[in-house]
Amino acid sequence: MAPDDMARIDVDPRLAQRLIDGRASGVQLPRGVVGAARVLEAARRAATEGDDAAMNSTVAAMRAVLAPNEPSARPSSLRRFPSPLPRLLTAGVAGLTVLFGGLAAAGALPAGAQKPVADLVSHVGIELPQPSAGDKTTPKAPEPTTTTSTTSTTVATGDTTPTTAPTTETTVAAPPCVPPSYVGPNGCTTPAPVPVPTTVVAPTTTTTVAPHPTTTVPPPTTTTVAPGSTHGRVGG
Amino acid sequence: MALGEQFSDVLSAARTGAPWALERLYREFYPAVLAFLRARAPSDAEDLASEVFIAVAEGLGRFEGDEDGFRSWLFTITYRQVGQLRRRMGRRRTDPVPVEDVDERVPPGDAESDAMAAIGTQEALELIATLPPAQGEVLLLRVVADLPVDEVARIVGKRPTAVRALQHRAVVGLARRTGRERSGEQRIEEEKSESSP
Repeated sequence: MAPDDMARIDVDPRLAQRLIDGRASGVQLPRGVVGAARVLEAARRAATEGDDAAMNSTVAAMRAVLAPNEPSARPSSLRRFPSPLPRLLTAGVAGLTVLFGGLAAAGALPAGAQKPVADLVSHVGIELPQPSAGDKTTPKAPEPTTTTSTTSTTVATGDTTPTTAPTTETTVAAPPCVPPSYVGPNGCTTPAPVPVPTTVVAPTTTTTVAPHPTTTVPPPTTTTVAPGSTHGRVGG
Repeated sequence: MALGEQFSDVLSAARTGAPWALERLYREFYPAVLAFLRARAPSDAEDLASEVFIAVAEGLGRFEGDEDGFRSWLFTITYRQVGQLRRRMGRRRTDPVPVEDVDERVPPGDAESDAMAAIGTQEALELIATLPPAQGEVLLLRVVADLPVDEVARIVGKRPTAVRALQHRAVVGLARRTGRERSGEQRIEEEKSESSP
């Protein structure tokens, strides 16, 4: 192309505007502009030519940015009929929870199940009956014969502070002792005499008042607390 | 084909990462982005286009606007990606080709019209790439991205009057590159005169 030919090409700015806007169809184009118009048309077509070659990778990269934790998402048209399995599972779990919850509240579960359930829900403040109460389904083991005996501790003279507490021992098939004797390590033991009993500590189950000194045999298992001491120690 | 009234729904779903919405955005806007990049950075067009759409995904939650606004925002990102690439490379990847070289590719004379009629999109983009960068960018943003003058001016950081001047010079430059072309009417008259005894 010679320079003089190039110089002769003249495009009106308004025509250039129309060419760029794609509004030059049907317009008699001046010399030298038809080629430019076709280039612009081809460029405009390029903006609409589908190119799906990179679509999968590009969309995947965009998804990695937008929803990195979602493994898959489908179009709404495909999400109209979701699988009923999750709903069925949820309903089943809810039904079983109500059923066994009611049985547990009524204490109607077998002992093997009632106790773990009661222990479990007790942690969250719900009290359920334990299996031992009214459990008719599990045979009870025979209870051993028990005898409860109470001992009291003598207190030294002059000490008015209650320093001892009654102790309770549970003995299986304990031999009978005639009161006021009690069962000690060596058999029946007679309580030690108390010259001036000042304080009698009542046991929780049986209150035994030490008799006035009639016998002076000190029991070997009796503990005497030294004066001034505030705490007693149970010997034996 | 624009998304039109569907745009807001597509945009909302795309923000959640819905693949179908992202595919709609891709199909609607990717060809134009790729065409722009093929003319501005031919060897890196595919990679840059992917980077543009990843950047779109990163900013999708902050975008507010309609489809036209989205298109403008998209090509703002595209334009900046090209600038960043040039800075990374330290030189322009789309140096203007001398007019003499272009003339070798475009057959002159009477066959020119037929050749230009069959011009493909890739050839057209390559021809635009031979324009000075400012002219080529304005022309691509106006024609390929289909943006108005004001939006192009905002993207390239120039006044609208400067954009109009650039696009005018770009059309003139294309006309020069496509060679001496005669209007169909003139050519027909000449052919008649040549064939007459």
